[in-house]
Amino acid sequence: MISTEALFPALIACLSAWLVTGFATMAWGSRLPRKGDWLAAIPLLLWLAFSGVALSELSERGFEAKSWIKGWIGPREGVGSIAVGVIQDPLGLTLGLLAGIFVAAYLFDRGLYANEKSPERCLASLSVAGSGVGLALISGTPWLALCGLGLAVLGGFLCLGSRWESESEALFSVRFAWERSWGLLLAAIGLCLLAASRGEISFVNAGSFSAHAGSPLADRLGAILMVSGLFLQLGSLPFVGPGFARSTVLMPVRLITTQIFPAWAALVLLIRFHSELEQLGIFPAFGWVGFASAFLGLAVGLLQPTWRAGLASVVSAGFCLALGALAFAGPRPAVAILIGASLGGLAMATAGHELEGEASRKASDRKRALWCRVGSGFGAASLGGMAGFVALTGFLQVGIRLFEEPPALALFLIVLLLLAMLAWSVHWRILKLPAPASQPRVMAIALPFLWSILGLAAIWTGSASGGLVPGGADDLMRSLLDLFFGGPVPSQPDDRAVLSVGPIAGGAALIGLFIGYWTTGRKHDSWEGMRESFPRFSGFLESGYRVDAGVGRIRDGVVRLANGAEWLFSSRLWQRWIPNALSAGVRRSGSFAASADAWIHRALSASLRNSIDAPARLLQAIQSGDVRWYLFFAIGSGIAMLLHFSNLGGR
Amino acid sequence: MNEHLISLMVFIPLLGALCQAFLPRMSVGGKGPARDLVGRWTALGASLLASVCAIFLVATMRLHSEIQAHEIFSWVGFYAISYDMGVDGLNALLILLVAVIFPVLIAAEWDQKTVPRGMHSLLLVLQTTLFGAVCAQDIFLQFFFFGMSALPFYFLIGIWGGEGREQAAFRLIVSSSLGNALIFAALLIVYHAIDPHSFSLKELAGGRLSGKMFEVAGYELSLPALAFGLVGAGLALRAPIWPFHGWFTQVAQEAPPSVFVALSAVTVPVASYVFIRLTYTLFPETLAAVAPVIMIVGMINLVAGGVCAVAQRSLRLLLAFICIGEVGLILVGLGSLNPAGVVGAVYQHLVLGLGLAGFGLFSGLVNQRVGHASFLPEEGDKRPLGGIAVQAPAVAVVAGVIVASLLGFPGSGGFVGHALVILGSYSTHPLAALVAAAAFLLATYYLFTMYRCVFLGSGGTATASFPDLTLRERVYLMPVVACLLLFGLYPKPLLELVRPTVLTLLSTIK
Repeated sequence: MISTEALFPALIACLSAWLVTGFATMAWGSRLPRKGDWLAAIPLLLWLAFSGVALSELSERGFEAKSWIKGWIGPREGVGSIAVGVIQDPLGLTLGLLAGIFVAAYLFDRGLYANEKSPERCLASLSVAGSGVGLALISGTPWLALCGLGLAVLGGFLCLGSRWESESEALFSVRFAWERSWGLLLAAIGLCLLAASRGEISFVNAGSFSAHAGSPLADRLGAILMVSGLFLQLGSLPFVGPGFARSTVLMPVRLITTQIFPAWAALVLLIRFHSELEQLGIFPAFGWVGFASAFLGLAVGLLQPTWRAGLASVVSAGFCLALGALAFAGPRPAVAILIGASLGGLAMATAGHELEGEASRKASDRKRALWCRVGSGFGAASLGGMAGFVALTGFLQVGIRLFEEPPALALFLIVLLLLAMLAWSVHWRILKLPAPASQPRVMAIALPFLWSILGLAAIWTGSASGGLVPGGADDLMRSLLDLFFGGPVPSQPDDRAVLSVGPIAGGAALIGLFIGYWTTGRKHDSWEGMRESFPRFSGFLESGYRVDAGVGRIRDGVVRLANGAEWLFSSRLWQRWIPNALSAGVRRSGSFAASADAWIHRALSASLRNSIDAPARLLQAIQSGDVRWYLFFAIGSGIAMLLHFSNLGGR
Repeated sequence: MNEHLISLMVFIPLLGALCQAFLPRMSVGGKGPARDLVGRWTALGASLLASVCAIFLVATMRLHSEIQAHEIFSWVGFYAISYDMGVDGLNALLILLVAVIFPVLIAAEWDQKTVPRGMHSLLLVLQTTLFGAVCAQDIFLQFFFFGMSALPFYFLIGIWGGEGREQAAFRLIVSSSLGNALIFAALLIVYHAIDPHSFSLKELAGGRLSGKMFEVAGYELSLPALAFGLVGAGLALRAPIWPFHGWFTQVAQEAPPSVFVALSAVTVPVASYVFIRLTYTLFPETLAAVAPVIMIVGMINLVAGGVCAVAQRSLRLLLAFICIGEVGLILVGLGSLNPAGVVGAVYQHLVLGLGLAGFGLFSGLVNQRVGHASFLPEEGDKRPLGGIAVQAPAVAVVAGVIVASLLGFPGSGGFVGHALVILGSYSTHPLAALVAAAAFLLATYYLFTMYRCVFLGSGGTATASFPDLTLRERVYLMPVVACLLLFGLYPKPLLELVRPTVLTLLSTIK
């Protein structure tokens, strides 16, 4: 058996190798056999094996978390310390294992890439994003989690850029990259502000985290920036527009790398940091933000023309709902909703992608396609929170917690209804896709079912219904969620709340199903009709509330400001005005000096002439005989004698 | 063991430059880069040898704040000017920066067709002057080396620059001379302020100038404040401090790429280092008083650099404005007077230098291959660049790492500097940290836009055939990229080197 001390480096080594092979696949995959999928598969299988070993080792220790923290930037014991480390706990390892299974499923599904021009790019993006999310999930400090998140975002960028020869796809990928990088940088800056006034921040010593160790404002600002940055990773509206949802990249791979993995990395960081953020008192506000964002995103999703864009919206809305759940009801329902949304979305994406293409007339093809459609239905049920799926557990727990807060409960239920409605609308759109010309692949049929089975409440909570039956009468096995968070829910809800909220939440999911069918499932698509009847309003919603246009205007303003500043300072002030002023100054002082010099020259000449003129005239007079020279001697001698005798008299 | 290592490190490049004039001109293989291999290899060898000395010097440093590998002897004894060299935590990272960048620049100019020996010689002289300016512990000696560094730039731009090279070189030398004159005036004031007169940093340290006044027309003026102002103004002209940056953007357009790399990635951090060394050592009280002003100047630079970068269409000008903005971040760190902030600023010298060098070399590659460095078309024009990632994936990866570091992504070199500056500055001036955050967000936008326009999408008019990195280019870009990743993932040894010196300097201010 591998010791805990050896497991930490082994896990990190696996992730590093996974990352490196991802880059290697990117660089040389096109020249390698099977486009290099085996290259990324080696560390992936090691990761799966070591995660499994770590989980079994953890179970032997009674699921007691262990950690290994090291200083990274600055001294570990001082204020402002930045440390990195790994934590071995059930939450991180289970989700890490699940992430590995996601990647493995799509890495080995070779048929998925049959029509791809450069499949190695998709394979590389899966590896990079997988290693990133793995790192984020097992990280023991938020700093390392941000590194993992950065890699997950990079994976998403590579995936969206896998068709970057196309102008529009390139635009989508870069748009994704800078929006998510904004989030990443905001989160890092927020964390810096939190770290500025306290010692090492890690997920291990949550008890030693002192709220308001510095100024309360600084702490609150830091926390707000951090949560905002992580919130952006959820693909949340109105900050992140629906732009990249229109990308044509392979839908399941795109969903994993651009939505699921970044959201997992961000939400798991928030879940681990939950108690600290709760102490700082920012969560209720972000709960409202999460619900509001989910609401706005769902409204946009309903009017999207394609099932792909609709699915992207509903999955993002699910993640926003998970954030709201985290803020109002704690980590347990957040994880349940996160898992439900991810697995449901992935099942639908796999089925929908397979059904796209030209219609087939063969009966056998249609039969196989039917199974794809059923798989999509299960995915919608998981995503929409139908009874028996884990998402419903999350919804119920949030509803029970909000039972005493009617406004929040009302908003939550509206969002829930919209979520179910959009999930089923997307499903009906997938059903309307014609059966493809080629037979759906076995993997494409099996995977939606696999994801739907993994999304069952029984697996995660032990309850067959997902918590609808009060008192745990339908519990089949031990709850994984209890394992994640160290035991059952501390305060068991009373049956009255369960009985009130259960039917409402379950009813919302059912109503959503019916409205979804009513609006999209029938021959006439009501949303399409709405787009035709109210083109401007629909266009406004469809475009994501014209956020992009607003950002474009701001950008134009900044460019104008920059050009103006450059014109003023570089072209005018330093290139024209100051040199002109200096040269004018130099010229004027030069001409002044020159004229002064001429004047001095003239004056000197005149005085010299005058000073020479008098003796010269005298000498001339003497020379010409007009004045006798001896008279001068006589007068001079006389004056000398007078002076001599006057001096003697004085003595 | 390290007795004369600094002198070796400083003068080997100068010796290499002198050799260029006397070496025989051996033509091997006729035309192109094959010609004059002796000259090229001598230049590269001298630069590399000096770099090896520098890396060995830094690697063998001990973790304390005292000056190490100290060398001192009298130079102009009558005026107490000495050849006083040494290393400590403040200059160690810059020694590394100069050591990494200059061999890379010489390798980048390997194929230079116009008088390669001249260019290599001037680059070697530049390496000597910058090593000297960084290691000098006598302010006259430091001024001598730093002031002299402007001259090679004048010739490098004036001879090998673009069409407007004469004007750019003229503006550079005028700005530099003006800056040098102001710094020299400050040095003279400092020299005469204490008795016996001295230029030694060690003798001038410890607040010996504090409280000194002098009278002008009946008014009493603070001597340290005046000297501090002169040093600050002089260095603002030498480093591109907005709005005194006009010469810098003009040079960015006209200088050869490698020369602009030397200017932006090395000389600018060295100017910032000179500012730290002089102000923290000589004028601690004045520094404490004007720290908020330094931060404000830093914030202005950050915002102005970021906003102006958004409007740029050329890689060269983009680089210039990134440099202007990042200098602002360094000033914010320096002005924080907080250990984390100052350590971050010192660390930022290194990683910013490497990031800018990488970006400059990459823009040089683009310029060399397609004949221009415009990435955004003028309105109505066709797209000039694009789709390079498909044709030259190695270039795309290198540029990606450099962009990540300039943005300060976690795990890259830039992250360490950025995080420490924000950690340090927020506790003293929260607004500065928020302005820095806004500037980072702006940087994310323009750098990703640049990346898309250059590397992604359909090919531009000039990139129909864009060759990937050659072996030589891979070899000289590798140290830059490797350092950016290494210093981002494992910054601990370097930070531990810097921290004791910074704490000692800050203790004099407190």
